[in-house]
Amino acid sequence: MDQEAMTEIGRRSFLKGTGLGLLALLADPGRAFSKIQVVEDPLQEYEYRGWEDLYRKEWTWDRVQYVTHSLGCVGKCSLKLYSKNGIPLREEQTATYPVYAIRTPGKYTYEIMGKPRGEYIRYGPGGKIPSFSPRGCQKGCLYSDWMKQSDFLKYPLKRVGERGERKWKRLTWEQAFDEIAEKIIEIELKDPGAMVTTSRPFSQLSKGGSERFTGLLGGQLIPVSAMVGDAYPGGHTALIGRVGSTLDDWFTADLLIGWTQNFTAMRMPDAHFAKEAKDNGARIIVVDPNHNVTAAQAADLFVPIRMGSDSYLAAAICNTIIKEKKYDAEFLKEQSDLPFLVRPDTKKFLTQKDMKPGGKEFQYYFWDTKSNQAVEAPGCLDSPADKKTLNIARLGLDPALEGRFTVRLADGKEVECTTVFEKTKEGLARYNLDSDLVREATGLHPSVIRTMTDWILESKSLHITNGYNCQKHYDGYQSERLKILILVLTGQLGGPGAYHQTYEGMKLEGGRAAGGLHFPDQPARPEFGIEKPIKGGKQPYSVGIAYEVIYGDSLERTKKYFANTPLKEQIGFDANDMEAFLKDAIQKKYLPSMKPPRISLWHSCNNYRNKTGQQSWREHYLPKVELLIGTDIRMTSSMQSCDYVLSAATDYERWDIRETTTNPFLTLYGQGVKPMFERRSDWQIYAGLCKAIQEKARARGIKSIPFEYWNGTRQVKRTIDLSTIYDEYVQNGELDSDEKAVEWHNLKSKGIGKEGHEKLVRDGYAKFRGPAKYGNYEDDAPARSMTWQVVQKKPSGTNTGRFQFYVDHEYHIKLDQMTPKPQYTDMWRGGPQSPKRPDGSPYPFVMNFPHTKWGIHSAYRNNRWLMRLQRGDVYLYLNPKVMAERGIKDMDMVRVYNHMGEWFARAKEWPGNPPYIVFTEHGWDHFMTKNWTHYNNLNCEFLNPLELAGGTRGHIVYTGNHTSNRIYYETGVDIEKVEG
Amino acid sequence: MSEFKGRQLVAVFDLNKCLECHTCTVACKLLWTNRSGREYMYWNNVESMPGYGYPKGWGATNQTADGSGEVLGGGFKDVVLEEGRTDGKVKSRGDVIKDGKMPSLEDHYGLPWEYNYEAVFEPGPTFETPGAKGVRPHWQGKEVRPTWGPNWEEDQGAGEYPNHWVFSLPRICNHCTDPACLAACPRKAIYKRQEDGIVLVDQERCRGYRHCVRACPYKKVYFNPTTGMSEKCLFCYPRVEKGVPPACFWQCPGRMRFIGFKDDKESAVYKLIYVWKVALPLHPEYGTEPNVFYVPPIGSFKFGPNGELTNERRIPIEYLGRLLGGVENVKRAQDTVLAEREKVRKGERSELCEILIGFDSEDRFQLKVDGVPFKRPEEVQPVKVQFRRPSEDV
Repeated sequence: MDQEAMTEIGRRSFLKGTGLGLLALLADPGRAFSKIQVVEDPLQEYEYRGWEDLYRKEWTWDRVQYVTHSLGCVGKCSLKLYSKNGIPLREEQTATYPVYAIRTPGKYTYEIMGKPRGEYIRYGPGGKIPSFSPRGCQKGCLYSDWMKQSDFLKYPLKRVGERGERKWKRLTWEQAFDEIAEKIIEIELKDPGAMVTTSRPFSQLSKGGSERFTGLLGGQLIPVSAMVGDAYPGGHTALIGRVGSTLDDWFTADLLIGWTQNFTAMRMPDAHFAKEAKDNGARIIVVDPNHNVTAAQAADLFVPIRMGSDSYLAAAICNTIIKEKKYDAEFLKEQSDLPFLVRPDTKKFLTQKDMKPGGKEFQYYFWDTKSNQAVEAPGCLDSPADKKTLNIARLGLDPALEGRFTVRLADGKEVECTTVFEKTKEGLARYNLDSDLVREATGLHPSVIRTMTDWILESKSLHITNGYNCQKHYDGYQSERLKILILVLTGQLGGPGAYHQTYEGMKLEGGRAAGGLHFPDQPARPEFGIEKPIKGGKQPYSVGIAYEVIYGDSLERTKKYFANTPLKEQIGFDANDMEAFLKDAIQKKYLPSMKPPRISLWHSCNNYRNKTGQQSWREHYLPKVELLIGTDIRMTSSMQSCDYVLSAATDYERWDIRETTTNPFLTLYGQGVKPMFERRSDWQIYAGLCKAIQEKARARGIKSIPFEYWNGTRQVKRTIDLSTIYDEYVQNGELDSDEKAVEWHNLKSKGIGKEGHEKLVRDGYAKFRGPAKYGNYEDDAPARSMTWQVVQKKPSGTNTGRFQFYVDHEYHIKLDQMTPKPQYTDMWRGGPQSPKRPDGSPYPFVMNFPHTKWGIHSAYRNNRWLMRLQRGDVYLYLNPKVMAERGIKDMDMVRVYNHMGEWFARAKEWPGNPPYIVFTEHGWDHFMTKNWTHYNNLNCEFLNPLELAGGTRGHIVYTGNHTSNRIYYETGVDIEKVEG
Repeated sequence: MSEFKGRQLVAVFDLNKCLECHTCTVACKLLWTNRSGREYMYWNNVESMPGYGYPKGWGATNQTADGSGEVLGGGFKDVVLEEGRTDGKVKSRGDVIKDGKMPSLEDHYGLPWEYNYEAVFEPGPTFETPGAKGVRPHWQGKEVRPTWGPNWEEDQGAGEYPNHWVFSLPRICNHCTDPACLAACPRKAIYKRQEDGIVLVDQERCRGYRHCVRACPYKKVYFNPTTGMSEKCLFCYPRVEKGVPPACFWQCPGRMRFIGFKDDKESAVYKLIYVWKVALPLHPEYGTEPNVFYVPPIGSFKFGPNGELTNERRIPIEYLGRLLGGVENVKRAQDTVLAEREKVRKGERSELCEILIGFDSEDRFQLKVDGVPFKRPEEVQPVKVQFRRPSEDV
């Protein structure tokens, strides 16, 4: 009897109640008369235990393979899948990660300004750091159930009705490849490279396949982070790129601040390191408007900040540290740009161009107190090769942090320069810890900020985690710079302390090895139509802002949204300014070229889930698309709109690998079961498409298509070669099977190599060697970011080669945001920056919809077991007082609305939610909601012009991370109880 | 009064480490209760306290913040605990309470509702459309509005923002030394295994009378309507007897669960319960001598009326005392943990903190079969296809 039928009987029987025992007996008369043996005292002995095999037989399987998951999670946990007769049964964490970090006294020591500072890794009692075992959360431990749901795809589908109408025809793979290839060729010939891909899952073959395919077609790739608002452009200006230690580093903290990161719920496999840090003597502070699970169950100090005012808290802390002169002056001199000289007239750094004819742009100066003159700071981007160090003490230099210094320029003019430190101090001076300004903005009593500051100053190993939510707020850019400033003022960052962004990718040693599968970068071969080697090869080029703002025409919506909101008074720019800055940035080529999305590939990317102004975006985007291809494992709301839906193998049906920075292991997708139904691995799907394109292109005699584009910093010239696209994709057969492709990748990588590859296949994971994110993978310590700079004195990739707090880009100067300080103006008095009603009155609530622990975005979000552990329906959280005032009871249907849209959810009471917030966890597909509405129908795009800053050299240029982040959290709404 | 004389497995759950992630629940669900009439059961569940818990109103007393509300009852009458102990040892007890309430599926357990996932393929109106057919919770073929579930009160707790307080309480069968379910069974179909103290319902002898369900004060025995018998947490005996930790222990990413034998004085569990006395039994006053012990949670500091920070912890100790055998024991446990942490903060070593950190699996799981702390499933039940690469897997 199958499971459903059993369940059905169970339900009926249950309702029949007490008579059932008897019914069961009648159904099985044999049982009624068995076991009449006498039992004396079952506490002492029980003879009849033969039945116990019943449960033993339930714990059996006939196949066990390593598995892991992608889906947009940064966990990278090795699990084992147990299956029987090809059917996945259950999974269990591999949990063989060793305790590898064991202290060698005196090994990890460092110096600042030539003075020893002792050890910078704080091990646990007994000199150890806990292991990563087990890794895996409640979602990863039921993927085997989720993948068996009837919304999962079984075979390729073609749309036969209108988009979104859900009328489908089943195709064979050959039919699908044939039809799609035909259409791609037509569009490529008409408008080469007019393709946009959004690709979500993190794995080398799956994501790599989609990106490789896109690259070969000259397409654009939307950087995932910029697309969903996970980029860290503010942090980029200070640090370059994205940083993140392996998360066992949390354990080494003596003060861990969870700031805009609910890490207990969002980093489940790693959260134990934070909890165990408390047993290692650490304190935990959680800064969040909500008394979330981390605040409730991990924090020593909960800081109930008003939403969106984090920059004020950080500014007050920095200001206090500076005013009380409790900063680490030597660290600042050596490791930051704070001593660098700034010209008062231009508001720009003093550079070699000012000082010498033909001087360089990125050679800066500080005032050396020993020689009493402005000297060239070593370690800058344009510093000579013999000065590529931050070890200024060895060079006999001692820069001034404070003061004004007269400098004679090359043209003979004298200017009185000041330092970045002075400018920073000046910018922060008004944010006093006990000021009305800070209190009104943050809602925090001064005693809370004082305690937080004291704990920070007391800390010998300060770690701040800054999750994805920071930069989704209007003042996120400056908030992040200020948080980094706290770590630098206290001399912590890259030394005994650390800054943890959430990050999901890295390059392995061996150049492009990790990216090799993503981006074909093969040497020139005449048959590929490439004249000579092209750096970057045929990789897709990334475009951060285009997807929503350009193709989705979202600024028009922004104007309507903020029509009655005095935005400019409050934050210094309004929707018209956003548009003007955007036009300027495009005209000045601060952004890459953008081509229309005639071909759109949605690779396991549920775009509707993550689109601000979802409905509006769909209405503007879809008409621009001539061919919409979806590759996915299940029928998401986004797949419902596709022209072709290709049934990809699930994470348990393929052979693949993945990496992230959360842990130091490369992890294997070990094909838990063979592909079921008509599913194919992503790598093979794109190979199949390439093959069909190549065959058709050859038959038609299509020649190499010249193609060029601006990538944000330079013009790239290349070709699109449809007649060799398959040969290029599989590298003439080198990569034609998933197993060969994985091995090729690993052997290319110095961080893994042959030994690592064998270990990966044997154990399900392999530990990396060599460089991590601005620090190394060590055999006996966490890979801590920024140690190359701080410990090894190697300049970082910022223009100043240091932690950089001054940005002299024209946009920063125009908006007076060169140094870290809150971006809000004097007019703002705290609370979130939300739109006003058409009549100009404010909305009473603001929406908050961060990540959920019950899904990886929309993945898993509809799983029955997970839904039964929630409310079974789409729900939101309200403060009980608000519910009483509004006459809303638990599980009542609530309409959430503003002048842009509405959505519906059931109410759940949560006293941990402040009264002004309507809180939900994100990820719901709109087809789960009443009237198919979505919370993303209420919010809108907000562009911070600072994030549009670009150029052709240095680090303030367009990258996938240093680009306009999607900012959408401060949505003003009202609520009402409705039927349903 | 008969007394259990066999070996006893004991567990410690460190509530300061619980992530409220429910991986334990899911691990148990997929291994044991996703089929065969067990769908509605949660042999392991995690509930937010204070609250009614799961099933709603379990216990002879209530777990809500003010103690009000319906209770399902169970346990023993006239329980007297031995004085001066922290492990809930019973000095004397009366008869088992047989008039505990039988929880109902809809009101106390929650329906195991299903979803019409196939609706995503069915043609219909596009996009935002009133009445469009979507994926909705269903029960017996009809759309349903759920009314209760195993985690219904998630994060709810009590108190006013910003002084809201809540903590999570994972619960399995306590495999009690004197189980009320066993005492209540007229068939004597419930027994305690002498080799490990695991309490089982004989799936051949049980006749489905459900006295055990009524008597268990923790409501951790469930009636299976498909088989007509009662079932409960097995402490994963098929695993444990081979040295493999129970699924909910092994799969806990918060690493908050410890297991070992009560008579193993070297084990982490023994030290936490009997040496450091930081792990306390849940409702020892019910008189069953439960064998799952909890390290009480320590919340953050509370705010005063103007938002000023105070030195008072937000989780009321009186409340914890109600759950974990008295304020005195809870206070001592909390103070001990805090004092030891402070020692470590100053650079000193602490046996307690090292145990609580539980650096590796062997530090938390001490089943000690064949001279090893624990074993892995593949060691005890190897199969032919195990960790193969595709080219070898044809």
